[in-house]
Amino acid sequence: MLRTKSNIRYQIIINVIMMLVTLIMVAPLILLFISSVSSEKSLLVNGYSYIPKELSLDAYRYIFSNRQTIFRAYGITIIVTIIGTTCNVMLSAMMGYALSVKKLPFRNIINFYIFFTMLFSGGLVPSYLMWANTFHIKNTLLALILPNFLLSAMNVILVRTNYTTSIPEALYEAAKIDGASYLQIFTKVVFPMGKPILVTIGLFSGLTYWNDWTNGLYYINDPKLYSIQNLLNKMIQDVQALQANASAAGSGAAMQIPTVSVRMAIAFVAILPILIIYPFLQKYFAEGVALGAVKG
Amino acid sequence: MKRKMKRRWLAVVLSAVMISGVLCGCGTGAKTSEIDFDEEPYEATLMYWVANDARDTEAVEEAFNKLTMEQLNMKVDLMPVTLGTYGQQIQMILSSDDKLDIFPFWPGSMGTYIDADYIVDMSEYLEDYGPDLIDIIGEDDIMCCSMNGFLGAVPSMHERTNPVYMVMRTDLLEESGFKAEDIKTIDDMTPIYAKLKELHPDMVMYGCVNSMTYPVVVFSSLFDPLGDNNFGVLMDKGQTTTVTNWYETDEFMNACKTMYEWNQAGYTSADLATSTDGGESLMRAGNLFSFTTYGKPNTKAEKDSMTGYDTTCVQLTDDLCCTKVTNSVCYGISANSEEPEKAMMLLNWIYKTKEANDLLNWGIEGRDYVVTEDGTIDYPEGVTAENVQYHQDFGWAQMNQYNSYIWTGNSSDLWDQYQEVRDNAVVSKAYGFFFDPTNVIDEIAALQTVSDEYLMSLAAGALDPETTIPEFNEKLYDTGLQDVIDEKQAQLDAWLEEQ
Amino acid sequence: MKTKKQKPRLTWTTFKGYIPLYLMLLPGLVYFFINNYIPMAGIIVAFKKYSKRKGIYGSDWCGLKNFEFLFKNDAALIIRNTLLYNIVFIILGMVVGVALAILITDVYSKRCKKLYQSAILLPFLVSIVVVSYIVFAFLSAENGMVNNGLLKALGLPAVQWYVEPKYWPFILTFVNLWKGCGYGTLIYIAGITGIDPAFYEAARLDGASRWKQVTNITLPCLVPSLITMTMLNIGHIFSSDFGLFYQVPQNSGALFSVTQTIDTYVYRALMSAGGIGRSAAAGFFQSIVGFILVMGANLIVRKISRENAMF
Repeated sequence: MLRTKSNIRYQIIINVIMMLVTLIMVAPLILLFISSVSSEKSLLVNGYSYIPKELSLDAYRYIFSNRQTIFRAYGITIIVTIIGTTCNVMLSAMMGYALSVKKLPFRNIINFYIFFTMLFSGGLVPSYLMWANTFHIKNTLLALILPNFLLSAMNVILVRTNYTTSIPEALYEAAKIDGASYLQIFTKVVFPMGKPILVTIGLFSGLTYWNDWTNGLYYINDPKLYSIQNLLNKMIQDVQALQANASAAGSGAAMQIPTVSVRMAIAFVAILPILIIYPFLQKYFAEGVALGAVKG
Repeated sequence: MKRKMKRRWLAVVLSAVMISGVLCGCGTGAKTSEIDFDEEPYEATLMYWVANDARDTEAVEEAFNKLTMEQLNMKVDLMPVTLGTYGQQIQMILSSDDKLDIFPFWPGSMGTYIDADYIVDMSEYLEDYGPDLIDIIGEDDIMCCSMNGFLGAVPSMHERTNPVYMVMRTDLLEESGFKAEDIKTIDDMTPIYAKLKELHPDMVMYGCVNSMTYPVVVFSSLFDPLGDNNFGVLMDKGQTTTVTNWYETDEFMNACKTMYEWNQAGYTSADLATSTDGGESLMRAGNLFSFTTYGKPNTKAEKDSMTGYDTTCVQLTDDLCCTKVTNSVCYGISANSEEPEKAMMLLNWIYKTKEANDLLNWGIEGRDYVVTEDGTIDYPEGVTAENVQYHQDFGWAQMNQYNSYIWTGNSSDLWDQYQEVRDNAVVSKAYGFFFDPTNVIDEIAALQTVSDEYLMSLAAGALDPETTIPEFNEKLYDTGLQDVIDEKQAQLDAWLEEQ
Repeated sequence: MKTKKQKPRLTWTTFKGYIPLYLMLLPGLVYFFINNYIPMAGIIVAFKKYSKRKGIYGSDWCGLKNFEFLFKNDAALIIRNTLLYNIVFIILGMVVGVALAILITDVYSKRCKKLYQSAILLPFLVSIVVVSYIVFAFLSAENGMVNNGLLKALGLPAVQWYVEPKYWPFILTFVNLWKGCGYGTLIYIAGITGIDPAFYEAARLDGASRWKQVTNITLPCLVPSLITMTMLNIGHIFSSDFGLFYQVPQNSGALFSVTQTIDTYVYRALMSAGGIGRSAAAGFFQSIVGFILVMGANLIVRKISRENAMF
């Protein structure tokens, strides 16, 4: 682009606009962080503010003193995210691969079978009753992993499309001639070659598991199995969910809970891992988004 | 017709059992003692309300099981739930096949629970497997959980009246120059707030969880709601027999006006209408002067310990005995129970067994509490609220607090005081009548939606009552309030005739 | 020339070679069967008077009673809210998304470009529960940033946000846009980068202004993406983000008139005693209408441009 005067002016204008947009996008998260390091008193007296009267790490100190609860929830979230995402990626890859083999008998029927799940759903009540009564997953880790998120038709279709378009037919033929079985072609050729798409769907699946609070809401009532999102959700109603024996505290010397800042601190801790890994994986996220718009 | 028959029959049986109990001079009925210790122990699941998620429930469960195995040949899976979790989960648990024998519930749900087969009719088992329950709770009080002859639950041994108390920080009250004796009604608080607000402009004068504001809690001392909802009530402390609309009364209007005035003057937290923080925790955080609560003889001791401040508690309204207060916490048997008679035996056993109630409420003796000289209990050396393994102090929501230790700071004749209050209370003419909402269940659900939209905001003073209350009432009538009132009146008339 | 492709006859020996592929498909197919298909059969619970003892399939039929209640009382409101919010979300999402996409692609500096792209997608990654905490930090009547920092400084009276329904359509729209617009923007950026630069070169030589370039080149080239996105969204027009409408308004009763959507209704009904039938009825209604909408939307797309249809 030419560096003309009008061009430079245009660049300045659009950069200013985008700076403002960036600010709007990031500012709320900054408020979250600042509130979490504000002293309880300044939050109560002056309200949430970007320029708190007084800084304090009490909230984080408090979190640490109750690390039993919070680290446990954190651990649950991590385990669930890892298992769920791995299964999701593996299942999507296997299905996507099998369906990308054009000669597979009944391929169209299976495709429709998968696609139809995107069009129609039984709704919350029947699926709750099924998981709870038939499979008895309530109050187990499976409840956070199995319902809804283990596999999505969209992911299968994305992988399938990607494999059909990016891996040349000739490659299959060559492998075939070498006497490789379908399984070998998958493990030796397709899986390694098609990794980027798997990373992308894995990221989105991981994000879904990390941020999910609904499965916990429906299927978990044992506080020991709360994920970090469920803990946050519970704290909206009851900040004392955090402290084991708050209501029974004996005397005036009992510890005061910095209720407002603690909420913010836990919320911040919950999104921290995402904030940390996001810059490194930003490329894949962007790719995944773009893929989502591509028709299946 | 059939239900009515059953009801009379039940009354007869109840009295018969009571007499027989007196005659043999023992509390236990005939069948409960016949426990077959040779058979496979029954595995029961007991859900009960707790104040917090304790650090260690396993040891309590173990100790509890030791008792039940010895005395009942049962294995009991304890399922303590906090009210927050309960609210989010109970409907899902009940609609599923989750293992559950005994669980607590709000009686307002009883009609729908019966309708959906969620609970078992306990009248079939009471006389055989729960004779001690009749002794301990009393026939009148048990009948408060009987809807049209279906005994859906038994009430817990919580207080039987719910007057409104104002809980204030004593240091601030003294600072304001007012005395506890100056406070007779809710309106007497206004000048105190005005004075204190001047001295402490940053403090919140009045706050609590949104369902505990004065206009909401005052019901239990002004009128008999004849069941769970306040759509159609007996005003005059239940001394009339004509069902009327509470939301049209001057009392409701005045209560909301007071709250509106406080809101406008900045005495209440502006978030009151959506507040989910209890007055206790707000006061504990140090920024609140006062809150309302349902009172009982040991309110002060309870609130002192919960807020961490020395409080002054003043009773604002009278003691009234009505069905809703008695059955406000009750324990029923889930339809998921494999053997309801075993569940009944377990419930009966808990009510009569002191150790059971102590375990559920106070944890393990020696570890979580020790008995002091005056017979009350306290934390052992080195144990505090912060590091105790299991400590609920939630007797009102559990089964039989009368039959358990009293925490230190309370007078040791606490349960006598409870009884005294109950004996001196005004008793509603409809005591024992429990409205069956089945015929108007859709109307009530719709009315509830309207009420959800207005009540909390009005009661928190967030909306101007002069304009909003008429609007609220209009909507209620549009949604079928009159049908509910008529149905209540008809059922009440039938019930009164029967008495 | 017409040559009929002879479909190879399926024999056991050829089939046998495919068995490993079927085995790879099997776990996923079973999962779909359990997670998606069994509950579809369960929607009949909407026509039943649910009794636990009898279970979903054994409960007594009650005809349309559950629907009767739904339509007599709440249907109009929840349908209105669900549809209106979605329409506004779709239109604004598109306008803002395209505008931001054009701006970002025009940014000269590579580093800034990357920064902006990262920033706009960031809110998309934050869980709705955390978003509700953030919104509360702004709007809490007592301690919120807006009341304490903004309105006070401007000398305006404080607003009790969580009991004033009139503000919430705007708040929810803003929150939705904040959280979701990055997603659309990235899609449109992908669309714009796919446009042949020669078009712009030619336009520039003709002396076309930047605005002219946008209206004559960029927008027409984006049409396929726009159609796909819109159709995908219309397919979901009858469902709503449960978290956005339930968590963000803090489940405040006073706001129900503007925050109750089909999904919140399904949940609230399920949570209330005896509401399982009503909940299932609303869920059933949502599934059926949603299905019709997806099929309809797809039909229209096929008419307009076949290659953009989903199926």
